[in-house]
Amino acid sequence: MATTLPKFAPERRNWLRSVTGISGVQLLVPMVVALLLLLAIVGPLIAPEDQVYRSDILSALSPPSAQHWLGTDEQGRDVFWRIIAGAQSSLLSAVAIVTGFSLVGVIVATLATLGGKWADEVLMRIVDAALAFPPIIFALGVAAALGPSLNSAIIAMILTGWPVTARVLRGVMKETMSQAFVENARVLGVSRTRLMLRHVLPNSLDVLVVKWAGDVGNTILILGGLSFVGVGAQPPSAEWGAMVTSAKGVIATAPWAAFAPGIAIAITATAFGLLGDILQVRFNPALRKR
Amino acid sequence: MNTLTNSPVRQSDGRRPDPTTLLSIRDLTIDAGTKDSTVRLVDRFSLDMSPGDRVALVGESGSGKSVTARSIMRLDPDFRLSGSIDFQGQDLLKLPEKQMVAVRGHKIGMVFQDPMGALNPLMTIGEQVMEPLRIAGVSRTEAERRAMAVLEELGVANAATRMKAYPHEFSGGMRQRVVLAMALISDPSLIIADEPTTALDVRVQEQVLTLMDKVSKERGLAVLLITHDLGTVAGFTDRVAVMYSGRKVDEASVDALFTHPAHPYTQGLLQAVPRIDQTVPRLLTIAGAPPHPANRPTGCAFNPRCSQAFDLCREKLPELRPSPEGGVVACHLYPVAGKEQGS
Repeated sequence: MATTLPKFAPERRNWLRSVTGISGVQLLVPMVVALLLLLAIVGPLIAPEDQVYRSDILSALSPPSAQHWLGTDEQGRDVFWRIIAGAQSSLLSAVAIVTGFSLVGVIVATLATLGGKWADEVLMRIVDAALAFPPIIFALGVAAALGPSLNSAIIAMILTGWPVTARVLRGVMKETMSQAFVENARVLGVSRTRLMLRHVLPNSLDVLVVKWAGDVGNTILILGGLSFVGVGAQPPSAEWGAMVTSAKGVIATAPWAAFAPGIAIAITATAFGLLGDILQVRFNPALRKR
Repeated sequence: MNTLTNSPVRQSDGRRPDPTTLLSIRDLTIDAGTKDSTVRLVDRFSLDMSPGDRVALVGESGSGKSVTARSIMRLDPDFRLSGSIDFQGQDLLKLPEKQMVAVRGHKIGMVFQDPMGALNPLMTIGEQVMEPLRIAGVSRTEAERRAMAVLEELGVANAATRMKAYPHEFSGGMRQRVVLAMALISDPSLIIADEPTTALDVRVQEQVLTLMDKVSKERGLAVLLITHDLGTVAGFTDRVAVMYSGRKVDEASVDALFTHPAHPYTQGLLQAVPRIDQTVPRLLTIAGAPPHPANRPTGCAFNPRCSQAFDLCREKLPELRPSPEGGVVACHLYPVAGKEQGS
């Protein structure tokens, strides 16, 4: 009689895992990010316009109900639909801003590391000077020059955002430069430019990816602040940050009007932050699950 | 003097260059630091190597051996170098940086101490081994073929599959083979190995050394081995140069150095090596520590630690002179030819 081997449950083949390399709870993150991006694209199309923009003072500040899922704001506009409609301006502009200034930061940091002592010194002093500009004041200046709009807020934030990225990344690149494999590549006759692009930059970008994802959430908040001082998105735009700041005054009587868009920002910021962590793992072959 | 060589080139010191010389370092002096405070790391270091020569450069940490090796490749732009480093008839110290890039990795290969950190974690093994060839403009298929050949020569099994792997999938010994493959793929005539086995465990050290021995013999490759481990030296090299506090103090064939070490420092080093064929109650050590390069004693730098030091050692720096065993030694115990030793 043959002894029966203990049976193990067959390993579940998860197609999502085989495609993305991640599994379990981690899968929630790209799904939420994908949903947010989908909202950013179709949100303004599916949200009924009169719910988003039309004032209805009679039903102002009504609590969440079957009719208004997340209640209404001080103008009687439906908070739920405003969040859906505002996903586009909030999310896409934040992604555009952070991607924009990250690119500038990468270029400046690369030039500073590549160019030797003098280039490094000059570029870092420029970074110091740029860091000294308070973003809000700078945005006011840009708004005065270009007229207040979401676009001038985006330009102002790219112009004030890059120095931090440049500084952080330059530090990381300096550290990567001192790694043994960079020295080894130099010894093999790899030119400075190639050394930078093939060895130093790819091994420094993990920090940037995390910073990029974290910056998206932060940027949505600052965009809201800019709308508040009248420089960014103009009323009656349903930009999330603008919604939070305009509902601040009624936070005691109608907390939903401020909290709902606040939670939307928090979910977005968290999702992008976690996405950064996952991307970091995906970029590093040693951390990658096989 | 030598009428057989009719080479028109004369070296600065008037000697005719040996036509078989691969590398000739003359009076290499390395200074570091600012103009106000200069530290002399290496003082008038000279060494000759013929093709296929295997020479060890031995010394304690801070003796200047690694700095010397790195300076052959001109890796530290902040150091001020003087003297000359003739490699295949070119003075590397006078070469523009652009041409120096072509020497690095193509004519001279270098292997470092830490095989764990020496590979880019984001690039496959294959890409990294091929890189020197790809820079030189070799086609991808040809580079792949040669990378596979050199990895197989170095005992990496399944080279074709392993080339697609990432460094973290390799053990320390395997990584050192990959690093060696990167240094060898362009078929250099000299390999500088800076403590290549220090970070490896003893069994893997043995494997890597045996491999280097085999490869250098088969290829007629000259090897400059930088080490502080005299055990490594004995089995692998033909000649040993001993450095102390930035200067070459002793140079001899391996046999002469191990049987009749000339310099008291070399004698001390040898007594500190555990030997399998001798039983000693306790291993001897050299008392004290080497001086800081900014604060060397007058006279011979070794005199405070030397048991045989006498007055002259504390006053005058000994120059290199022929040693009884056919090498050179910088020590007042050995009288200059034609002069009596004063005591």
